[in-house]
Amino acid sequence: MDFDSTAAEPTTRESLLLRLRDSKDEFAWAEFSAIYEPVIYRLVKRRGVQDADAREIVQEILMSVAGAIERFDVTAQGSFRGWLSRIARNATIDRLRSVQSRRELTGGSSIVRIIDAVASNEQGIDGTQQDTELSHEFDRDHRQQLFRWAASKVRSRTGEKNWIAFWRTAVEDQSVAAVASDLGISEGSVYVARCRILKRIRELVHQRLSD
Amino acid sequence: MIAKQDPHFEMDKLRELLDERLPAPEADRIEFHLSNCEHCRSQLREIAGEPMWWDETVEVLSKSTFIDQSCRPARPTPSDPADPQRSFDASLDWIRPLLQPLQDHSSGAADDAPAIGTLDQYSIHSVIGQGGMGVVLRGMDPELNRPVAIKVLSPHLAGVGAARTRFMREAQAAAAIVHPAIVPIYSVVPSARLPYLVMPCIDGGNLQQRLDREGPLELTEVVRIGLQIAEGLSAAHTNSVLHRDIKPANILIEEGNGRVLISDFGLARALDDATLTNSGMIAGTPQYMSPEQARGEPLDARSDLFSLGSLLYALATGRPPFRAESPLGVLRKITETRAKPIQEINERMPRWFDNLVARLMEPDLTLRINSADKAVTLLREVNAHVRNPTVNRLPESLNERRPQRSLRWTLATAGLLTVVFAIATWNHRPPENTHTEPSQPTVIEQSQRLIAMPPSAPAAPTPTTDDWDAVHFNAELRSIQFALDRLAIQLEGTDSTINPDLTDGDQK
Repeated sequence: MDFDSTAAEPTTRESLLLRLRDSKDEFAWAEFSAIYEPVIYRLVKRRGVQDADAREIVQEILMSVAGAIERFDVTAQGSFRGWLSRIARNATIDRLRSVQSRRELTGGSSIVRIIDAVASNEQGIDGTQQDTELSHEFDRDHRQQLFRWAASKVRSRTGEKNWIAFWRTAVEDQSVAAVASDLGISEGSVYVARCRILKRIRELVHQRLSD
Repeated sequence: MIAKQDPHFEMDKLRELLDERLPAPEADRIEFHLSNCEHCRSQLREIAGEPMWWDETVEVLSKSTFIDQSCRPARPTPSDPADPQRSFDASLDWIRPLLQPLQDHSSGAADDAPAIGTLDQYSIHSVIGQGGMGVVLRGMDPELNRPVAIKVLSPHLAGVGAARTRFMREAQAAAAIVHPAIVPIYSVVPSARLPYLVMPCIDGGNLQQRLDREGPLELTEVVRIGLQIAEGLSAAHTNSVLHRDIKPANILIEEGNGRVLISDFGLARALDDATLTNSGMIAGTPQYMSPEQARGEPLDARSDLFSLGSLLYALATGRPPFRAESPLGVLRKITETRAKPIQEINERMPRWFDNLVARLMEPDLTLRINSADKAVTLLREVNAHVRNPTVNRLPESLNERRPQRSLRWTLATAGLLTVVFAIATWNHRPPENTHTEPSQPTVIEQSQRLIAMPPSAPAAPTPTTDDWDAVHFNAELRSIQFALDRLAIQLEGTDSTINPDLTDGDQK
């Protein structure tokens, strides 16, 4: 299989980590930011930050995460993804704090209270499994983004007809018979297309979660 | 009825079916059976994923990612089959300030989706796609009442002076090439905060999608398509425009008549500029690159011809010529090997076709077909031949045997490796005397580059196999090339460094 499909994707956290550390591997980094960037963006944006500020914050956070990757101990317990999420979460909180102080200078608003609430939830980086609301939110968003990312990845390889068969029968719950006749393919093909697509999405998501 | 007696298929068989590991006739047979057998259908569903996976996938995909839904009542329904991310994902929020709100609803009758805003005179209906360059929007040209595709340069590129300039320059050059095999550019709008291009909407998908859907194409079809692309390239090269990124995904298909059109002329170059300046990295798929491109050398028309060869190879076999575990592995194969003969993958292709492709994919520049015009001439003869073999003879030159890997090429490779080794070694010396001009921008750039380049002790030398070394050196070579290119960009103009616009304040 070529590297566009799943075969060559990193299968272990070590390989992902190595690839991310190897600054030449733009693909690993591109994928990493494709998944995390929207997650962090939405997280920040949900706290009422303006679009331009939010994008700037996201860049800063990604930068600090990039800087931190060096410090990950491959032999340590726990998943690399979990570790990355914590790093990203802490970076997010740090950053939101500085937004807060800036807002205070310029008059402040209800945003301050929100950020206060967020900040007070913060645990130390080594604070064991003390799941805060924010990290729940972060993990949930990250998981959802993985599904979307995997779906678009699968879609790009699968052909539109198959994708539409999957979408209309699985996501929109339309009848297989109707979709099959619309698309001019057999009902059997519709079943296969939608199962094939789900299987690939599942495999991609699963693989990324175990990185 | 008879379905009762039909034996069910085993789980393993069904699994193979989903993994596309069955020959077509067998897959067809099972698909036929599935149409009538609930038992096997539920097995299939189970193999695809447990119910929780189905539920979660559907839940996530059907959910919109809008954040502030209040301010956008006229958004498209979240369940747009066209794309899971198309429903104006929040990460596309940057595009919104660009769109002016609708006056009123301006009779969405003409197009399917209701408009979500306007960009200058165009009403915007949906997001077609998002790529390295930016976002492609589907819009409507009110004057001519025709659908258009609008390619908006993404802000991180628009902020880079060199990329912006190049984007415009290349787009304008491409717009000047009027050829049926090249996607026309209706207008280039450089003035907007984010520059954009307006093109026709071409609805038949692209060749990559067709390959994914249908697998290898028929010989006559491959030749027909190859000829059209060669003609387009010839027109472009005559105007001194290189494409630089010929690959199936960049060839669009017109619905109905099967005409193909090359899109994104020269834009790969602008993207390179930006990714270099921003991150020191190059974006895109390397699978169709020419060896000289993979090595980061200067390119001429022959590079596009190599990529055309790679594309024909993919059309004939259903897969790209060079495949490896990683992008760097692909680059290495491109620079060091020849693709496997086509008949070994698709025995229905004649040997002479492999000769044809090999003449385009010739690693030695001096032996490669050296102009698009020549490729056109050859492909025309070949096209006539496959259409009517009794009347039109195959061009003589294609009857020869495929050349063995030439001594010349071997020597060239060896030479290259020596150079790479020398450079890599040099590059590993302590940095005391690696001073360049002390220019301010470099400092800023470094902080920007951090985004994409985590500071690293360059790859711990644990897996020191020859393979690994070769990959590493290639990478090294490319990064050196990048550095040189970046310097060139800096020298090129005053607008080429950091644009303060990059972090412009709130826009509302």
